[in-house]
Amino acid sequence: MTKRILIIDDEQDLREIVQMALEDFTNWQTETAGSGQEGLQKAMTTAFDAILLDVSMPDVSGLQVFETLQGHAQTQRVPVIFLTARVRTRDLTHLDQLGTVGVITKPFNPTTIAHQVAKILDWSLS
Amino acid sequence: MGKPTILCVDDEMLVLSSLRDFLNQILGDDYVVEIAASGEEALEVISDLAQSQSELPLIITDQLMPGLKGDELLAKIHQNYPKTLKVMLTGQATPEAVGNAVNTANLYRYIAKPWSDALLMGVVQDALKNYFQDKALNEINIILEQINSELEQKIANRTADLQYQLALEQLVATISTEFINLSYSEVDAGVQAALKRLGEFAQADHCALFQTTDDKTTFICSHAWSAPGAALPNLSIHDFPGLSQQLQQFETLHVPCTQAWLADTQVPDTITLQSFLCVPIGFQKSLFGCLSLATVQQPREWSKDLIKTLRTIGEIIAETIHGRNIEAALRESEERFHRAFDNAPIGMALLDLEGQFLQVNQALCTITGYSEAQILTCSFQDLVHPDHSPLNSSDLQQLLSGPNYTCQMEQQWMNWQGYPVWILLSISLIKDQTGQPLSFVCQIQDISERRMIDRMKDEFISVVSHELRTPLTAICGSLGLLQSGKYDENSPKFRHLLNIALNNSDRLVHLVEDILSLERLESGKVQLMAEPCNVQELITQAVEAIQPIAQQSAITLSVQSVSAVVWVSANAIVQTLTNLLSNAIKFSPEGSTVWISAELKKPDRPGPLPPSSAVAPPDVLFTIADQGRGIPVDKLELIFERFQQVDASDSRQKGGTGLGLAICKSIVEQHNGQIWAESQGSQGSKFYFTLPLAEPAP
Repeated sequence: MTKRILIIDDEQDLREIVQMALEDFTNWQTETAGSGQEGLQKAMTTAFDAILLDVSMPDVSGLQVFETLQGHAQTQRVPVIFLTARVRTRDLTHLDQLGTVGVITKPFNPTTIAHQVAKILDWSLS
Repeated sequence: MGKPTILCVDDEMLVLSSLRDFLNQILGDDYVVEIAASGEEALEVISDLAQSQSELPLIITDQLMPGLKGDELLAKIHQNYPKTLKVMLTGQATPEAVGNAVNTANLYRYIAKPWSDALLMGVVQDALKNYFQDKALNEINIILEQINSELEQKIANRTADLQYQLALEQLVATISTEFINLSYSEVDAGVQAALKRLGEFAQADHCALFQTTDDKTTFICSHAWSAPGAALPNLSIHDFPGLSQQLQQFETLHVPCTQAWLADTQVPDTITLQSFLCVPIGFQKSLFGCLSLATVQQPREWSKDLIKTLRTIGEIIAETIHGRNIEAALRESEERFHRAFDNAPIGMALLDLEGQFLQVNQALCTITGYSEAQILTCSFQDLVHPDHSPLNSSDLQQLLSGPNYTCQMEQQWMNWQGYPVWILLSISLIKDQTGQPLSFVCQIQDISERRMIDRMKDEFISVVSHELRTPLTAICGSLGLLQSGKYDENSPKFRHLLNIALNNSDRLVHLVEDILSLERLESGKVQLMAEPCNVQELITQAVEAIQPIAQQSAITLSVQSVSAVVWVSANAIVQTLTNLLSNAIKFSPEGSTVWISAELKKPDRPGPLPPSSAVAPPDVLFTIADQGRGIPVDKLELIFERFQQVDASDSRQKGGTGLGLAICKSIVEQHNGQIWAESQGSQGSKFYFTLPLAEPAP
C-alpha cells in the first residue's frame, strides 16, 4: 500500500527537495505544508503514515506542532521524524527525549533520505 | 736604742750616789741610772738621751736646788717627755712647789726626805710598771688605730664598689624598663636614649651600637651618641684590623690608652681616640653586633663590672631590636596581606568554620551590593540564591576532612536588590600550625557577564549554524538530485533544481558576508573612519545605489534633506541608508512610494524606545518610510536583533539574510546615534535613526 507522508517546513526550497527525493525515488506520496499551522490543519484532516517535521519554524515551531499532534487521538499514533539544522548533541538529545521516532539532520543526502525514513519506520522500499 | 734610763737629780752628791746605788741594787742590769747635780745638768743628760733615742721612763728630783728648781725642771722635761713619770724626793718642798709640779708636769709622786727604802722601792717599781703598761697600751692603741684605719678604708672601698654596682644595676633596670614600655615605632629613639644614658654613665665621649649583617662578618653602625662638644668620630669596626674576627670569637677589646695601640694596629690616622672599649653582643646563640665606648679627650680604663653591664645592656638592646624587627616583618606581612585582600579585583572573604563572614573586601561589597557591615552580619548561606543549593555544613565538613582543603564551584548568589548574580567561588581551608582548622578563605568572582556572553555566544553559534545549514541543505539537496541522473537536463524539474542551487548559493554568500561584516563591526576590528559628511550627499549616494531596484518594483523614491554636516564614516552610513531603503522597497507594494528624509531636530517619539535625553540636541534625524505591510508591535524591537525577521520566509522570498537591521543598528550605535522603528498596522513602517551633528570647528 502506498505510503502517504506529510512534509512540514517553512523553507519552500527544502520542502520541494524533500518532496522530490521521496516521490521520485519511491512510490510514496507526499504533501507539503509551509508552516506549523498549515501542517496541523493537514494532519488533522488527512491520514498520513508519517510526518517529516522541521523543528525551527516561526510562529508555531516544530516542537509545538509535535506536542499538538501528540495531544490528539487521531494524530498521536502518526510517527513523526524531525528534520533539523540544529545538530548539537544537546538539541538532538532533547528531541529524542520527546518520544519522536527519529531525527534527520540537515543537510541530508536527497538520494538516500528515503532509505533513512524507511529504516527509521521499518518500511520496505520495494 | 739603749736600755731605759732613770734619771736622779739632787744637788747633794751623797744623796745622789746613795740613790743610784739603791736603784741599781733593786733594778739590776735592766736600767741605766743617770745622775745630775742640778736642774741644768739634768737637761743636758736628757738632751743626750734624746740623741741616743734612749727611753726615759722615770725621773726623781729634789725640789730645792741652786739654779733650776725641781718643779721647774719637771715642767720643762714634761714638754718633751710627757709620758715619763716624775717623782719629787725632797725634804723642804713647799705645797706650792708640789702643786706646781702636779699641775705643770703631771707629778707622779712626792716622797719626803728622809725616805724609807721600802717606800722608794715601791714607788719606783710601781712607776716603772705603770710606765711600761702605759707604753704597751699606747702601742696596742696605735696598732688598733692602724687596723681601724685600714678597716675603714676597706669599708669605704667596698661601699664605693657596692654603690657602683648598684648604679650599674640601676642603669640596667632603667634601660630595661624604658625598653619594656617602648612602642613599635619608638625603638630607635629608645636605643638612642639608652646609648646616651650609657655613655654619660661611663663618662665616655662616644657610645655606639653596631649590628652585624646576616653573614655576621660585616658590622654596620646603627645608632651612635656623642657627648656635647666631643667630635663624633666616624668609627667603623673594620678600621680596626682584626677586631671583626675578635668580636666573632665573642672577645672584648679594651684599650684604656690607645696611643701605642693605635700605632701598632695600623688604625687609620683619622681615628683620634684616647681609649676604646668594644664589647660583643650575643643574641640567640649568635653574634648580634657590638657596643663601643670611646674617649677622645683623655685615656680611661673601664671596669670589669662596666664591661659585664655593657654585655647585659647589649643583649637587652638586641632583644628589643630583634622584637621590633619581627614585629615590623609581621606588620609588613600583615599589611601586604591586607593590601592584597582589600585591593583584590575579585571578591575576597574570610569565613569562620560555621560559615559566618569574618572579613570581606570592597570587591565583594561591589558584587553583592551590600556594605561591609551588612555582609559581616551574614553567614555565607545567606547570600546564596534560594534556587541554588547552598554550600551547607556537610560540604564544609568534607572540605575539612579532604586532602586538598580547597574546592571551586559556580554558584548563583542574590544581590541586595534580589537579582541573581553568578559567581565563581574558590574556597580553601586554613589550618593552624598543629593542623587544626581555623577558617576558610574565599575568592568570589562575578561571572554573570561571562555566563551571559557564553550563553549569547552559544545561542549565536546555534543560530548561525541553523541559518547556514538551511541554504546549504537546499544546495546539497538540489545538487544531489541533479547528480542522481533521474532528471532530464531539459526538464523543468532539472532547471528548477538548478535555480534552487544558485539562489541558495547567493543566499549563503550574502549570509556569510553579513555575518562577517557584523562580526567585524561588533568586535571593533573595523575602525569606522569618521570624516565630515554632508547629509544631503549621503542620501544622494544611497538613493543612487538603490534606484535600479526601486525601478524594478516601480517604487517612487521621495527625497527630502537638510544640508547639514555630520562627522561619520560615509561608507557605513550609506550602507545603513541603503539597507533601510532596500528593506522598504522589498516590503512595499508595486507603484507605491518610499520616503527618505533628514531633518534637524531632537527625536520626539512615543513608545518603548524613547531616545535618551543624554543624546545632545540637535541631532540629524533620518526617516525612511514605506507603505508596506507594517511590523507587528511585538517585533518592533526584535527585528534589530540577528536573524529576527518578521516572517522567516522573508529570507527566501525577499532575499534578506536576517542580519541587515542588526548591521544598521551596530553602525548607528557606533556613531553614538540611535535607531528604532514605528509601524501602524498595515499602513507601512517608519525607520528612524539619529546622528549627532558635527562639532563646530574651534
